[in-house]
Amino acid sequence: MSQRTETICQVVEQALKQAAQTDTLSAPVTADSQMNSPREWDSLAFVSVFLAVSQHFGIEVEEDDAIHFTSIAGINEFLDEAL
Amino acid sequence: MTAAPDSLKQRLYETVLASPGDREAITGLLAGSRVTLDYQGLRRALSGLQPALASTTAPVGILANRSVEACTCVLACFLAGVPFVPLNPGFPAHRLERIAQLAGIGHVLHERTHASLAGLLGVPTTDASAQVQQASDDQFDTLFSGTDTVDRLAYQMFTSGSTGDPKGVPISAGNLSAYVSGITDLIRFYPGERFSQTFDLSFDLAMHDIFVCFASGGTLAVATDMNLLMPGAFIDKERLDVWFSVPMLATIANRAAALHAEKHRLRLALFCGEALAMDTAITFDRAFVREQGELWNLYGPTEATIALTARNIGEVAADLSVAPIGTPFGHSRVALQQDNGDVLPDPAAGAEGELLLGGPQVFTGYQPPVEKQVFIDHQGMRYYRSGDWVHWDGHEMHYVGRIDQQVKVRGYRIELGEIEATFRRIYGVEAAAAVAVTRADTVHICLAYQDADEVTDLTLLANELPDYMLPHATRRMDELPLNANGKVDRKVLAGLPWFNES
Repeated sequence: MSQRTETICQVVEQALKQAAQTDTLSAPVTADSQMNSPREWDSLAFVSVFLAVSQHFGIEVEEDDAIHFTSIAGINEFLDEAL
Repeated sequence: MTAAPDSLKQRLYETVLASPGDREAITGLLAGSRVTLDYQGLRRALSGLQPALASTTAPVGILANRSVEACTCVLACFLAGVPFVPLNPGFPAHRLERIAQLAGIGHVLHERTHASLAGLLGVPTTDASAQVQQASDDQFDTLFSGTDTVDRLAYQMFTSGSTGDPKGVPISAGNLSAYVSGITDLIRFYPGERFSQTFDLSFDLAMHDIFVCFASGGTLAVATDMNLLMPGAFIDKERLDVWFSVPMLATIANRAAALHAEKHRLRLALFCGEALAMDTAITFDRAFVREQGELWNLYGPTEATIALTARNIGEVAADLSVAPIGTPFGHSRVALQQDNGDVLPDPAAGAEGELLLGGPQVFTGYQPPVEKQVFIDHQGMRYYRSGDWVHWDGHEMHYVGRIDQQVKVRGYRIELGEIEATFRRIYGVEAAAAVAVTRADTVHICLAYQDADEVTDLTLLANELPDYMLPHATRRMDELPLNANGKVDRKVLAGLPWFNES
């Protein structure tokens, strides 16, 4: 896994724990993770992930960009364009 | 059969016919691609769907969800006088087959992408995507003219049933007409306004979206899954005027409220389907509703057609934590039934009781019939027992809780007994009990079962129950905890460490 993918996973994992108010997720966040897997990545946590990733990488996001934020792979592709 | 003088059919027919051909009627996914139909396009689409309905008298299944097909099929069926049954393509095939069987469906209209699922239902099918896409003639004025009757079946919804089988709720054209007249007398909707369509078609609140919008000559913007994850962006991009959703979508929107500064705002926001927290309502109002706009809380079960009480929360006392459900509108009537059995159509301030619902929006009984008596007759009025316990403060009603094991997840009604019965049947466990636990703004279904062996694979359960009914956590126990009466102690169950608490 690339360095950046690893960082994304950590940021997403942290955001999900915060949103679900839990210390451990039902499954770890990996390069293959997407919405509903782990199941804490639900519609309520979606925005938390969106905001946490954009804040961590210091990018200005528009609401239209949200479509990329439903999987780790999607976030990676979005960052390829944005960074 | 009596003809309805101010029937919804007539109002829809006249509005759809008279709306300017170049006004946008509906925007959303059609066969998976985003399209916009103007009113002339809508009249063509409805004309294109009509032949599939001409030969049918049995109810028609609509296997479609949040799409141009879904909304135009509903409208075409209603205008053609053909009863319809929404079939949610996201539900397990097994459940859809059961619903089709219980409702006696004779024909299925489906989105193209669900052709093979439609084929499983054992009746003739029509590709609604093709009928809408290829429609070229506008014969709306002749195909859909004629009067309607109030007591004919308009649609049948299926909700969770505690016995383990979905429960059918038939709603008549008269019930639906009464709702649309009542709500549009109470709240003004204007021609050309842009309305959200956020509800799944299998949820009766979607009928509000479709019928109120087209009876008002409005534009219906059908939300995609992505739109529901970013409600604020949807409001802005579609320049929405009128919003209607479950409160959960307000919670989701509020989390991204900071991104919405300086963007387009709503004139009107309506919420229904579950209790509306006042802080959620106030945050949403500030971020997404115009200064002169309004925010309303609506209440009502499917059995009483969409909603029958409402409250403009603009003037609600700031110290309330949950929005009041208000008072009945239109010709609906309510009464309270107290613990001692007394029925109070005119309760004193401070009274509490089970909310009883009467008037022209109330259905006539489940189909197929259920054993439980759900009606109560009092002083010449037939009331439906809602199962909701409310407090009357002298001016309006406040929701207190359920008197049974029904819970709501994202507005969807769930009978915990249905989950328990299905789990017991599939896995053969000795006993099972489900509870609803709220954490981090979300209701989680947690299920404990009594058995020697662990159940590890929930696939079989997922084959029978829609995803919103699946337990988030399960736990094997040697014995389920019992209370002093020898019943499963649900309070103890709800207090178990179901999650990895922080």
